[in-house]
Amino acid sequence: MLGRFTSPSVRPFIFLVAIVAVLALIDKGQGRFLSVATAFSVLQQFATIGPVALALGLSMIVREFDLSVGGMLSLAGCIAVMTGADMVIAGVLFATVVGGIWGMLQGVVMVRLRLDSVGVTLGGFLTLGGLTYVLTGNSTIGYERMDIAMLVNQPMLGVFSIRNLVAIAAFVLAAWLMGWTRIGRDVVAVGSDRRAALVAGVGVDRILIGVFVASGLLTGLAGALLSYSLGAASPVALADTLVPAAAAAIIGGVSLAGGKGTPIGIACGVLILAVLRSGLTAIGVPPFVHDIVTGSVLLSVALLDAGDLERRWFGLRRIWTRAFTTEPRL
Amino acid sequence: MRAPADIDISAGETILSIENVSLSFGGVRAIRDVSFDIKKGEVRAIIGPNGAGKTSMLNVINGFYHPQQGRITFKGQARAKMQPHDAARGGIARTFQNVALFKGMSALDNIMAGRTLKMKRGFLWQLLRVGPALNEEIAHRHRVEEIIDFLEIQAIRKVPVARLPYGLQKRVELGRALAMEPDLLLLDEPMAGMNLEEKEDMSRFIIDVNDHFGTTIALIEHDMGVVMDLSDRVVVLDHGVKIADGTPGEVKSNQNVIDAYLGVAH
Repeated sequence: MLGRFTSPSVRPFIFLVAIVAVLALIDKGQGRFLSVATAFSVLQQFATIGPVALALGLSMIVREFDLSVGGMLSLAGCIAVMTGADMVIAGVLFATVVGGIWGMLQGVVMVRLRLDSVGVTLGGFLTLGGLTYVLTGNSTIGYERMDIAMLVNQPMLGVFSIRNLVAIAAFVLAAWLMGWTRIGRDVVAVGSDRRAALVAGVGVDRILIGVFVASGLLTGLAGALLSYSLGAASPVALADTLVPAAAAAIIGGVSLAGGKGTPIGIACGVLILAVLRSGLTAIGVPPFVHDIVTGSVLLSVALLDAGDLERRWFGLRRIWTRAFTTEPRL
Repeated sequence: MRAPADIDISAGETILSIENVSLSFGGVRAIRDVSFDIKKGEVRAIIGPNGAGKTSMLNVINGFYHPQQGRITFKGQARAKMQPHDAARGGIARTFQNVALFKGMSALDNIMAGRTLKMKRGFLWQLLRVGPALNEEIAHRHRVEEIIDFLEIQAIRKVPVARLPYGLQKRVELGRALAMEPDLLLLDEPMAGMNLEEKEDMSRFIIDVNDHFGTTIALIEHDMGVVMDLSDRVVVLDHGVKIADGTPGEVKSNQNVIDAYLGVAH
């Protein structure tokens, strides 16, 4: 019973529903939480954290870490803002392609030299951050096209915008690939047992490089759209997405040990974070409490993942029943 | 690089030959100047005491290790270096001493993963999942169901393998190797850690695989009784050196082998 609820594939959905229910209860039908405005705000945050969480999460599924996503988001934002004033689409494309190329470089270096991804991508994170400072001359660069900034965030049908629709599309595509194609099975196989994947003839190196390319593309795209929507690019503003992205991936059921997790689970993890943030704000909880709540959710997920929990739970129940049983024990 | 999957070798001819292979890790010489061959259609056992270099030998054959000296010829093609992926393409499948499976996946998906190399449709077809790509998936699924029937694991096909008992995990791992329709199947202690009943089942499956599919099998085993019953020929390693090679009967009465197993001082 407990096992079913704590299973990493089901848990994110249960958490999401529970959190929405609790926040709705606290709001007591005053319409602050269950409103179109809150839903829009949730989806806008989904657009910001989502692609980065997906990028990081995919790398975690193959049992690696792409920590460079934080740096890539900033750099892609700067590239888009600096090149996209005249040709809007080209700016986005350019930033996305740079992301993909960077991802490929990291992947190839790791695979060819048999290096650990934490070292390589942490180096990448710092390098990209530094590049962003150089490119921007350590100042915020404004985006000249306010019309585009407005357009990207313009609400459609109440809750959607171009930016969050792009993020949703990225998740749908990833979910399709991971859930329905051989590529998805190969990705999970590589993360689950690399030796077994090798002897089964899975192109382990290709999958690893591919995942890092996908991660770079996703982050590049997200960074470009985010900077457009903010109407500015700055070297500092976007670098702190790494932590919420990692939290979202873990809450979404991605295992640190690799081989577990789905794009839909990650989307759920992102929504949980976004609902918490927007919901708590909507019902008037001060911002510093947000981190405490988010942290508690993450902690409880970590506790549920502890292998011993179920055993201890049964142990507790046994002690409990023994203490309160009145029948004489034989 | 495409491995030569289409070279025809008839039963009884040499499919793999190992010539003067030496392998060392730093100063430790795991394999010293070992030569033997495997003939198509036979069950070949590699035995020896702990640390004899048996698993190293298997790792050399499927490309995990690259020997410093010697020559390996597989299906008539000599090679200096090969990656595991190329070995798999060339038709070498294997299982591991400690089971190597995709723990979160079902038994069915694990075995499907063994068909990866047989699937030809590219990225875009898979993305669309229509027409040829879908037909291909269905055809392979069919073949995998046959393997599941053959190994008598229909009941557990949808169960995540992490939840299966050890004996069944080993069987699923064998299934994944069989799904590759290999020319040479390497089994690293297929019966390690099994109880008697599980050992008997596994022995039966190994014999059946050899009979039904004519698959050439090279296996490492500790249990001498099992080896003698299963294999056509046996090669014995001790401290990285080949000390005997022949039929089970010949090997059993070989003085070197008896000494190695009883632990006579060198």
